[in-house]
Amino acid sequence: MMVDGLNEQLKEFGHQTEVLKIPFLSCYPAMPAQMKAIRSFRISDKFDKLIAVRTPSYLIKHPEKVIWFIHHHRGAYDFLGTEYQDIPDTKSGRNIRSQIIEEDNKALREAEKIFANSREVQNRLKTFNHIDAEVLYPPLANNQFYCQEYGDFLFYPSRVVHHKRQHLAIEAMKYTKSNVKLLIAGQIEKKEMAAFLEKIIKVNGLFHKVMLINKWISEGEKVSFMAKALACVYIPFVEDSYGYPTLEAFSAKKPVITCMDSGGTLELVQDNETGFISAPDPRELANCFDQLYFDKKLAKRLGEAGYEKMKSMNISWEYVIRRLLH
Amino acid sequence: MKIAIVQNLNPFQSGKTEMISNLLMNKLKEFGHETELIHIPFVIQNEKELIRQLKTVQLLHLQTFFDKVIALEIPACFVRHSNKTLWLVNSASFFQELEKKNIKQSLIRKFISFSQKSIGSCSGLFVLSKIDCVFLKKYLEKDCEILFPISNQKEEWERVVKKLIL
Repeated sequence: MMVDGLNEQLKEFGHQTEVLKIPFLSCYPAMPAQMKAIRSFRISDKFDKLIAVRTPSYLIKHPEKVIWFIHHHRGAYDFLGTEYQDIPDTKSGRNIRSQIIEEDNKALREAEKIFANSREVQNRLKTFNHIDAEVLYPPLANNQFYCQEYGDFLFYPSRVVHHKRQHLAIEAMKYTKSNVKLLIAGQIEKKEMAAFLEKIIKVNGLFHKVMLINKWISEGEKVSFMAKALACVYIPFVEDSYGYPTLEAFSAKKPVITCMDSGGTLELVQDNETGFISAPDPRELANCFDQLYFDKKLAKRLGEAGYEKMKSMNISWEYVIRRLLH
Repeated sequence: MKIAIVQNLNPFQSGKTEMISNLLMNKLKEFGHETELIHIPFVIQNEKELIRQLKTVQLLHLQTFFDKVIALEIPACFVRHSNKTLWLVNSASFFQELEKKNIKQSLIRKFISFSQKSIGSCSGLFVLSKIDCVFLKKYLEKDCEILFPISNQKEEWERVVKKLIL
């Protein structure tokens, strides 16, 4: 979404652009060979400038390389020692982790400029790679969001993977006392995850309270759901940036419920001002859900404050392009 | 089906390959497939680089992401995939360029052996023109079928797509 938006906007500003999509399997034994391939690409004579976004595209060499860094391969960095660590602590795992860090350090230092998509990611670059990056917030690709009403359902639009913690939002629905409902929309990447979520819904008899749309909904559908939602739930574990759902919710004047360990979202969401910051605990989350359901004026006030907060941060494509190119 | 259309990276050009890849992508989408266009950077800078870059292409991983690969150009077509079909555009000019570069015969032999191995495992080999057929036979000793959509009619593209994704 960020790359599509950037591509479109660069064209609007009169530049010739190409999006170079490189398939990359983030499964640790397969990573070194693919990294080697990306490192060997020769594109300097084809482009005046390279803007690298997703990891590890910044491994490509270019004399005028700018990196808009969105996250590391987190299993080798901040996820180490957590349940999300995807590289085992074995001799070969440690070896691959060292290769990833070494290659990242080399490639990052080749760049003319490095931007981070949030303070969270800026801090990670400083901590793990000793790199100073400037924060450059990504705007929405196409902002058509609006507010129609503060309805009876909470909307959680996102890719469905474990660290986005849709399971926690579903578990919270066990404890709600109101008639609030939860709508989760997004592609479930793994079959086991679909089974896991369905099991939570089934075991707790939440069919009437939780709806799960297992696909990428269209932009139009998302805009429409957001317009009618009571609030947006976005509770990832240590998210890289504020996350597009947060920005989309604020654009539609909807408050955002997030968690105190959700990382980048905390740069935008302020407790009791633009939404709620809850402990990552189903009962506490349920309280937040109920509070907004029972007091829709509060939902409106928080949502409108989120909208104003977002406007005050000057998150615009004009600014982004100026910083990336000059 | 999740399909990758693979071609060489030739930015800001709108030649035959771009026309074919865009048309094919739109038609595949029309027929209900999820399609992505993948560009593989490749430059024949010098002899040493040639084989190294061919090997680089093979290090890329497409297997997990796509059910099918349709490759349109040499050397992008050397990507590894268990269900790969080649519909080669401009293969004659690739070999002509290779001839012009006055590359050592031993290296050309290496290139040919590499290509034969890579192409040998594909599910189908199609080209757009007779001249491409002639060059593939001459260099890679491969027989291929000419596949050219003679119109933009739905039925005609159904025929083309059916051949490519079988």
